[in-house]
This record gives sequence, structure tokens and C-alpha cells, in this order.
Amino acid sequence: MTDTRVRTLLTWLTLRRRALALGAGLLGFLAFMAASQLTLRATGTEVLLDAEPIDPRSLFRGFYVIIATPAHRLDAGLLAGADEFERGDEIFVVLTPGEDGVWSPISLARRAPDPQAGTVAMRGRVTSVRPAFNATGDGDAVGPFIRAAFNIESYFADQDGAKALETAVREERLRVIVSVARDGSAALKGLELDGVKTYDRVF
Amino acid sequence: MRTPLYRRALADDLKRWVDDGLISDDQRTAMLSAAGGSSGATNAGRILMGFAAVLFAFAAISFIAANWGALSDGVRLGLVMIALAGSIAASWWTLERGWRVSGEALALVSAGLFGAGVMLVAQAFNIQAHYPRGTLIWAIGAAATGWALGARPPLALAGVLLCVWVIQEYSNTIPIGVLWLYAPTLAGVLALAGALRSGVTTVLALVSLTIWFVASAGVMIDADRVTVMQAISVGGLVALIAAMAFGAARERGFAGAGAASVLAAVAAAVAGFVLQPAAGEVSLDRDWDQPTLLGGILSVVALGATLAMVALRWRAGMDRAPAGAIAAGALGLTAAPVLPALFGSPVAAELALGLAFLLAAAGVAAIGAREDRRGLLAIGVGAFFVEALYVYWRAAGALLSTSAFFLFGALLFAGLALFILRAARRRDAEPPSPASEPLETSDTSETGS
Repeated sequence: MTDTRVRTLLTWLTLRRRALALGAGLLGFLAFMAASQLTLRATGTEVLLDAEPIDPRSLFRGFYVIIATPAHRLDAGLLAGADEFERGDEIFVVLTPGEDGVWSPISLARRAPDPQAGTVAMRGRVTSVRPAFNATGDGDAVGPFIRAAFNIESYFADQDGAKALETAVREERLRVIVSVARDGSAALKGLELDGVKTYDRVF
Repeated sequence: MRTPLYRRALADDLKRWVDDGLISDDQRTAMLSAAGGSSGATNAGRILMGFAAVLFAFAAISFIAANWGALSDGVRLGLVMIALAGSIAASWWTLERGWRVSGEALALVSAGLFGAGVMLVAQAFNIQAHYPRGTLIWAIGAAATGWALGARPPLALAGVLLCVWVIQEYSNTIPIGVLWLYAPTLAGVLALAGALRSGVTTVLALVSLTIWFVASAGVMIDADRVTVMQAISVGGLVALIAAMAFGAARERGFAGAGAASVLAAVAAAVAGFVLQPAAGEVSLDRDWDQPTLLGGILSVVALGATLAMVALRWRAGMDRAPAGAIAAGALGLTAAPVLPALFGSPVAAELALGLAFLLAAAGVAAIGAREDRRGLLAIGVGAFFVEALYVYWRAAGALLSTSAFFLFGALLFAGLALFILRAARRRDAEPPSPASEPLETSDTSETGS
């Protein structure tokens, strides 16, 4: 009986129907990818983060700029909350805005913290951990130092634009606008250059 | 529609067959008529139309390329989606009319455009570059395109992307442990390869499996969960299982299974060979060189699966000699990781493994000669040759330039040649068996792929 049903289904699935289903599936998936990112940008909490240079040398690689913010390089010893993480662990960085409107990390968590007014928790993954060490020998340890990734590390621009952005990052004139959803997922929404905000537009 | 070149060749063949008395003149006329064809003018018109279509396409592509920078992300994505829909429709239209080559080429274009769409969305929304899941999504889309349109080239692309995805995942800065998501993905691609009779995809899937296994073993070795020797041992056993499984699949007409079986057998031979230097590097004082419980369990489970597969194949008609050889090889692979500790000397273990490998290679060559299996014979002789060089290099490397090297090599190969000839003579002396396994043949299921 099952064999007959399978045969009937396979007969019904003509080449035309399969091609239509394929087209709907692939196009629908691309539309879904774009729509989910647009929704994240539109409905997430807008967070402004300082963009920090990675190192003194040129960051330009291909046609995108490497983005690093205070949330990417964390001194767990200076932040509240959890401080024991291993490479590959999920991490939630709780951010709060300062008086200048720039958000900074205040605490770390291994699970999504309860939402609190005036804060957002950005979800990422730990990429490296340097354990705490006592630099001065006086009993006060520093660290551990945690590096994390949040899916906002690359900003695509054309060749000239990327170079200009890299310069702006080195001169500390650039900030990144990030949208953080309730589940902690983050997406780049735009840039603030010399105090002027520019939001990425699809059209 | 047959090309003029085909019709000319057919006409020549038919004329020769009429002259040889194989067919009559009336039959020749009927066959030429059935082959179809069209006038020279019609063919010229079709060719010119084809050129025109290509030029239209180039005009559109170069116009878009010239203005790409000025287009917004939304417009770019829209263009890619329109092109994707158009290529799927065009592929379906040509395939419906029996134009296989054009239809499959357009199906491949569709799969490529889907990948371009995924990358474009990632770029437009600044999703992390080199994100491996994007490659997986592209691979799934390519496989779906191959299945839906009944075309092999997109499926082969999915096989390539499977390899790329595994490499990307294990190269990612964020550690993932063992990539278990690979297993169902591989199963899906293999199932489609069988359904569409794509031998190329089967072989590519096996390549991706090799990459996955080596990378996963590396992860487990780094975490001290298994030793290097245990990882190689399990890898060799898995390769033996794969060789037998693909061998069985080949008998059932699974496209590419023959080539995959040979590759898996070679992988098993490589694993057996590599165990020697791995044994030589073992230090009995180092913690991470001591066999682990997990490694032992994996070895025993793999051994059990190998022996079960041997039993199944033997019941299905495999001769006793190859079945016994595989079982012996499996036992040897399983025991290898504990030999350094058992002998109390890594060097002794390496020598023992070398001797076992030499005997196994000679045995495989003899079986190949006896059963007229050129693939097995080649593997056995090749393995014997490589092992002989390795043994000599390890034991008497300084004498390579002297006549002792040549004498040693001559004696060794003369011994192997006599062994093989004796096996072949025994085969020739035996009456032909009606139930003997089919010879290895090249896979002819791949056309136009």
C-alpha cells in the first residue's frame, strides 16, 4: 500500500511541479533571509558602540572592514556576573548606555539574563580566553580576558569606502549602530561617522 | 534531435554494415530516416539563433556589471532572484523537450545563482564573512535543484560544496567539536546520487567523508580523547566498511560505487601503512600516547561492524580468501594501538606492523591475481612496493646508493612476483565457477555530467 502511495506521489510530482516547487523554495528562502534581517534591524533595540582599531596596521582585507567594539574584548575581572568561560561557549554581554549615548558592557552571563530596563543583552560566542594573571604580584589579578564574536564583525563596503572607514576607525571617529533583538542576536544597522548616523538601506 | 556529425557517422556505419551483409539496404534507409535530422538551412538558423541568445545574455550581463556599483542591495538581490527564476524555468522548458545537455547546464546555472543570492544577502546585511552555514545552505539548494530538475551537474556541485563546508566548519575560529550535522547531510547527498545515478557525486561524497573523518579525528586527538594510533585504527576500519558497502552497492548498480569502493580500499591501505610511523613515534612515558577507553570502545565497535559486514558479504557470495583477508586486516588494525605497550617497545611494534602490512599487501595482490581483479592486484602491488621502500628507508637508509639496495629490492619483488604467478596459475587451473563475482568494470551510468 505504501509502495503504491509513493508511486502515486512520484507520478504526481511531474517535472513542471518539481520545478515550480524548487523555484518557490529557493526564492522563498532568499526572501526569508532578507526579511529576517530586515525585521531584526527594524524591531531590535538600537545600540551605539565605539569601533576600536584591531591593531596599528592596516585592517583592510578585501572589500570589508573588520569591526571590533568593547563588547568583543572583555576583561571579565572588571565586569559583573560570570567570569568562567571556555572557547566555544555562548556568552551574553549586558550593555548599558552612557551619558554620551554610547553603550558599554557592564556584566557577562552564560544564559540570557532577565530583561532589565535600560540594558540589552547581546548574544555571542567566545573565540578565545586568556586566563587571569597577577601582573604586579600584589595579590590583585587581572582578567580573564575574553574575546567574543557576535556576527557583527564585518562591514562590507566598496574598495574606497572600506579604506575611508578603516582610517576613521583608527582616528576613533567611527561608531557602529547595532540592532539587538530580545533573544540577544545582533545585526549591523549602520554607522555613525563624526557624529552623523547613516543607516544601511536595502533600496 | 541528432547532430549532423552523428548522422554522418551513422551513415558511414550503415554503409559498412550493408557491405558486410549485416543489414539490408531497406533497413539502412529506415534507420537513417528514424535517426531524424534537419536540413542544413534549419541547422544554420538554429545555430545563429543560439549565437543571438548568447549575445543577448552577454549584453544584459555586461550592462548590469557596468552599473552594479550604482545599484542598491535590494535591486541587486531582485535581479539575482529574477535570473534564478528564469534559469529554473528555462531548465525545465529545455528538459521537457528532451534537450538534456542544455537543460542540465541551465540547472547548474540555477544552482550557482542560488549561491550568489545567499552570498549577496550575507553581504547586504553584513552577515559574518566565510560563514560556513552559508555554504551548507548553498549545498542543500544545489542538491534540491539536482533532484527537482533531474540534473546531475547541480548534484555534483553539491558534492563539491559538501567538501568545502566541512573544511570551513573545522577551520572556523569558533570551535564546534565534531560536526555531527555532517552525517544526515552526507546521507541525503548519497541518496540523491543513487537516485540520479551520479557517480561523480558519489565519489565527491566519499572525499568529503574522508575530510570529515580526518578533521574530526584531529579534534578528538587535540582533546586527548583518543590517541593518534587509535584514530588511524578506527579510520582504517571505517574505510574497510565503506569499501565493502560500496562494493555491495556496485553490485546493485549504484552509480560510482565501484570507484568509491576502490578509493575506500586505498584509504584502508593508507591507514594500515601510516600506523607504522605512528607506532614509531609513540613514547611509553607520555600520557597522551596511552590508549584511551573511548578510543578502545570505538575500535571494538568498528571491529564488530567490520566483521558483521564481512559476514554479510560472505553470505552474499564473497569468496573465503578475501573475506578472511579483510577480517585479519580488521583484527590487525584493532590490535595496533596496544602493540607498543604490549611489546614494551615502539620500535618492535613498528616492525611487527610493517611485517603484517607486507604480508597483507602480498595477500591482497595474490587474491587480485587469482580472481582476476585488476584493482585489487594494483592496490596489493602498490602497497607492497611502498612498504618495501619504507622498510628499507627505516632500516638501512644509508645504503640506498649501494648495490645492497638493488639486491634487496630484487629479492623482494621476485618473491612477490612468484607468489602472484602461483596464484594466477591456480586460478587458471580451476574450472570456471558460474557463481563467481563480476569483474570490476568502469561505471557507465554518468553521461553528460
